[in-house]
Amino acid sequence: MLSAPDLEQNCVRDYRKYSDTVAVCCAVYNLFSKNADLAKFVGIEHSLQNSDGATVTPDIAATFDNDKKGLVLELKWSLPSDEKLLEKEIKELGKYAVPCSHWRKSADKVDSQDLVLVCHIDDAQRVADMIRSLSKDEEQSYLAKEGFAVWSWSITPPKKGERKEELRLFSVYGKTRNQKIEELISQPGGILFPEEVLTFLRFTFTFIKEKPPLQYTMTIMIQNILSTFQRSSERESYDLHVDMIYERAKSFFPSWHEYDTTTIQIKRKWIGEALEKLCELGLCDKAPNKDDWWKIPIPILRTRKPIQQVLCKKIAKTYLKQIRTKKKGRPKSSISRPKATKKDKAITDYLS
Amino acid sequence: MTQNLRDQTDEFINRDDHSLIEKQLLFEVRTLQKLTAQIADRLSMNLLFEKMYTTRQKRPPLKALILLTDLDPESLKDLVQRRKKLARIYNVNLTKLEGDLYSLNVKRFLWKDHISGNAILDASFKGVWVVYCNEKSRFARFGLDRLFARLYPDVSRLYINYSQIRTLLDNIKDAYRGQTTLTYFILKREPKSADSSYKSGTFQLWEKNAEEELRSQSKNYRLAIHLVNFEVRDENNAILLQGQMSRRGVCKLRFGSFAMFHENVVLKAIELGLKWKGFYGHRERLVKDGEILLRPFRIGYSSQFDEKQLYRLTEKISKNYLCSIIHGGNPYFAANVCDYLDGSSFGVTALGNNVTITPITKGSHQAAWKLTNRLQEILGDGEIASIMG
Repeated sequence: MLSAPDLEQNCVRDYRKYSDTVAVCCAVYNLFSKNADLAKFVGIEHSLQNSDGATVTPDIAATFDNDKKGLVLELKWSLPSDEKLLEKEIKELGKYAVPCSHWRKSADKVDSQDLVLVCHIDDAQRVADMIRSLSKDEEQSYLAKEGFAVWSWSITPPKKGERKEELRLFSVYGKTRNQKIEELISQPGGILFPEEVLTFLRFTFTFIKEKPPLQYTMTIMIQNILSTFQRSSERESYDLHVDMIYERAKSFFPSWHEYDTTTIQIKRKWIGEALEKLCELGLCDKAPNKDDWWKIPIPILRTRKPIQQVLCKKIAKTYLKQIRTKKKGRPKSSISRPKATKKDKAITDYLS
Repeated sequence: MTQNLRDQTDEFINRDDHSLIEKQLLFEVRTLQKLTAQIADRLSMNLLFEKMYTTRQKRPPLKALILLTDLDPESLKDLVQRRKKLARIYNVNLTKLEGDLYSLNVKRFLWKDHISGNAILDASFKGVWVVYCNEKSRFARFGLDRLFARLYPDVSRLYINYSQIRTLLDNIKDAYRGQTTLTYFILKREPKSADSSYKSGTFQLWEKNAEEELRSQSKNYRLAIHLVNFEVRDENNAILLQGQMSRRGVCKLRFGSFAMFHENVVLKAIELGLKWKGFYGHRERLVKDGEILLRPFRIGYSSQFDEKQLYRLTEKISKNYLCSIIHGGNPYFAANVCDYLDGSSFGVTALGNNVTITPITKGSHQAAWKLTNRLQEILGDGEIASIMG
């Protein structure tokens, strides 16, 4: 079992990984929307209809070669370390390999479509190894063909006095059929994003399609969403309905204006879960006798430490407490009887 | 001045164990304060301050505290009352004198003691209050200054950095048609390089021409200016004005014509304040026709940040703001900060030699300006400019 500091460290690391993945999503969005010659941006979480009849919503969709070819990018902030779970995750990418329609109003279908998996550098090697082994399977053969690639990203620290920190996207496995993109990504150091991505564009959106770790949603809610309800400079308690919070949070999801009911439910659920957790950590309360209403003090937290660190510490503490309670289980029932004294008769005396 | 304090002063003067000079000085202060309390309109205020500061006498300087607010001064008492902690330690009385001119009496309870005094509140400029006070600096600092600091975000300060002070001094020089010289300054400095011969900390200098030293300091250090004393002289080298300007928007008149000071210093500072209020305002993240619009701005520096400076930024900023630090300095600094009192939130990054501030939600001008000032207090004064998103 991991110790509290390890749990806390992992929790903070996950927060950072998700946040950087959002930055990469904003970077790619910016790259395609500003450079139509590379690929024409279609949308973030744009609904595509695949030939199996299912609707798929890749993180980023774009077209190239005069809308004749499609490009789908799927971002994963973290991939499981367990091999079976990782295999399952990679197999799930198969839904994007099936020919899709509904790309654009003007170009409903494309001749071919490419798929790129963008993952964190910590997972890149494991993912590449797994793909190599899976591609031997006939069903997963698309993984070995041209048109499938794995990209990763890094923020490089500056060399002394030479250059600034940079965000670069580089290829880990495979190739797309987009010549221009391949020329860019195959150059030493990969695709260099403009500085703006690291400085302000990373704040364009706050979420990607993949579910964020709970500590991430909680932090964003405390800082960017619940704080907007604040009306006084003094700490006050506000009664808020989950829908009120969702309404304020909506624009932080990249495809907020294209939402269908299912997506709304999912995102609303993330918020609900974060509120439940905040409540569990003792930072807010449920409003008595009112469903989905919460009693939230704003500012919810006053601390001199980074907020995610404080939340992660609380989460780790609560988790370990729960584990310890579970291990102990229910106390065994023992019947205690007073010991017999010399004056007491033996039970057999009553039987005679 | 309250009756109580006046009685105390009388009692002090009547004691025999003071020198004649001390008595004279106290008498002088008391008379002045009495006079301030007797200001009945703008004309009498102008005449009194004009007379006071054009004669060479030892007396507290006239402090002009410039505040930004859209509120009516008459709501000041309510503002204090609404803040429970503030209402417990402050007693504020406001009397209308004429038009937008008010007499302000402030009493602050300090443990077993109290400080109290009078000031004049001028609200004749839209969106600005100017509080004039010629009481001793203890009252100005711990009474008035603290009161208005705690009225944030309803009432906000005007924060000026080194380059803005320089702009202001140039404007003052032009307005007086004279020569401005810095005679004193206090600043905080942090070496730009890791060279151990350069020391960090507070640095102050009294010198006739302090500006040159300030320039040479800026070559090797990141500077956060705290205050400057300056003089304006005419072509015959006669002093026209002796004043002071602080980072937190307090202009002081030590010697010189009040009318000129008002016209050439206070009004210029207000002008600058309103210009920057406009700069910091309306920058929050917006959604327009399905597009997300960001209006970031940056603080530019002449040299790149090193890891040590960025770690220091992480440590310091968390003390004043609700922060989530995405990267604490390695490979760069990126954080999401939220103002506890205002609820505004910002994305802050430090990359290369620029600090970028991206207002996210709410993003009021008060909060943006306050945050920019705090960042400059930590990293040193820089050049503020808008980024075209």
